[in-house]
Amino acid sequence: MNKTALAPESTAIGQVRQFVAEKVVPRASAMDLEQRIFPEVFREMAEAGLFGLSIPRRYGGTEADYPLLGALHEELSRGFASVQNACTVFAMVCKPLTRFGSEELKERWLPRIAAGDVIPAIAITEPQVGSDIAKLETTATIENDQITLNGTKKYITLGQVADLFLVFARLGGRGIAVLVERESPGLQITPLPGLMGLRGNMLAELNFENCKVPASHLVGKIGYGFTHLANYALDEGRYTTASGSVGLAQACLEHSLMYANERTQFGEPLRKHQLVQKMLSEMITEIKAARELCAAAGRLREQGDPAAINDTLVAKYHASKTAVHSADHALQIHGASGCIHGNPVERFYRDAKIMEIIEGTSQMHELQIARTFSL
Amino acid sequence: MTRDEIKDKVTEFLTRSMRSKELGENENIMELGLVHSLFMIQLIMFIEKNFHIEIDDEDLDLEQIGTVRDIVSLIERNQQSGVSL
Ligand SMILES: Cc1cc2nc3c(=O)[nH]c(=O)nc-3n(C[C@H](O)[C@H](O)[C@H](O)COP(=O)(O)OP(=O)(O)OC[C@H]3O[C@@H](n4cnc5c(N)ncnc54)[C@H](O)[C@@H]3O)c2cc1C
Repeated sequence: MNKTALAPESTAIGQVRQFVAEKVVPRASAMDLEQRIFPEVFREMAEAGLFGLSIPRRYGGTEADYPLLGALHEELSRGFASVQNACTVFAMVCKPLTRFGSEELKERWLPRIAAGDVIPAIAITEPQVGSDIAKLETTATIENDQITLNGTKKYITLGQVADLFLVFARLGGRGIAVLVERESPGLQITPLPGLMGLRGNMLAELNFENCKVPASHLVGKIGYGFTHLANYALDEGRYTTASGSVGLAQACLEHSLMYANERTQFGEPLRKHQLVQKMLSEMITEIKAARELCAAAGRLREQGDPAAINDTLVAKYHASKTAVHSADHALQIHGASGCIHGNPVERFYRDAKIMEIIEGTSQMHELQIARTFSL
Repeated sequence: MTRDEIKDKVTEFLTRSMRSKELGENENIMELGLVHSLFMIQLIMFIEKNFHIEIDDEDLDLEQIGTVRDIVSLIERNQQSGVSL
């Protein structure tokens, strides 16, 4: 794939499918076991233009439109959900940075992220604050053009390897978002191993103890941190997580169809048994519906229609549930053989559940969807 | 687009986004407690899509754009001086 421009949609999808088949799938089990994305995979992702999917071309990105972005995330997740989620995180940093960042910040960071020279991460969650982000406890003060951060961020994807963090904090009661470099004085990073799913995410805890960053690293105005930037980032993340969930569910279906053809019990392949057919039919139907919801959200997003935000909530809510349900069926169809590490469906099962937690839990989606209808 | 046309579009957007029945030109959506957490990004999308302008960051402060009148003025100002998309 060319780094500055994406090929027409069908070609780009074909290229990413091939990339996933050749570079990701063969290493997925090992990456899951070792709890990391291999450095060579990051390099190859950058070379394929995948770091820059949400970065405008004028900053060296590949800038996929929303329908294409969704289709590519679906392909990535069919290979390894952590690779897909890494791209979600890149977008959650780069989109708000592009929309609200100063020209200086954009020119400094976006081309390096697109080239894969800088790995970005987003730091919202804290030990005491998850869904209720307006209550963040990390504090910031500003003096002599310097921001001082104090607090702790937890469960930060790519935290173990990221070079740059978009950190959310509270400055005198108002939300801010600020870029913090890994080597900033006062920032300590501790890996959080032992994750159940998305084990390649390389989670970390970040401790800020009088951590100093220049005030010019602020992204957006003081007060915009939660209302503008965090929501902008989460909305973006929800869209690609929805598509990633479809990819995961699709992988469950493909493995299940293969196994149901190969495995014979009671003198017939599993696919001939009606109760197995029921599981496969449910998967096929739910995946089709989830993909259509993602496509509808993608179209509205591309048009810039504000209704896209609600449609994205609905798509992520349904698609993540579909991933969980499909993984459950896939494991059931595989029986004992699916319960052994190394069989991808065992990984899909663990990864799928995480989709219902990240970028807003299913319950947060239910609340927001209900609010949209004035319930 | 005339001021009245802008006003109609803004009022329609706000009543849809807030699911509110009626909204007077000077009623403050913050004071009415209508603002939900996704409102700001909906507003940005709405303005950029419908008026083809990128609003200056300085102008996107919720406290300064609480009424239909405020938002209409913001759009008019940016149509004259802002960046076209
Ligand atoms: C693999 C992984 C990667 C992650 N990566 C990142 C990252 O890169 N950056 C980052 O900032 N964070 C990250 N997170 C954190 C993630 O965003 C949070 O886990 C998520 O926001 C939920 O917060 P919580 O886990 O603290 O749950 P809580 O908010 O404590 O919620 C616990 C449970 O209570 C429910 N609940 C809470 N409030 C309500 C309510 N009002 N009504 C009904 N139910 C409610 C929730 O839905 C949930 O089921 C990651 C998490 C995981 C697992």
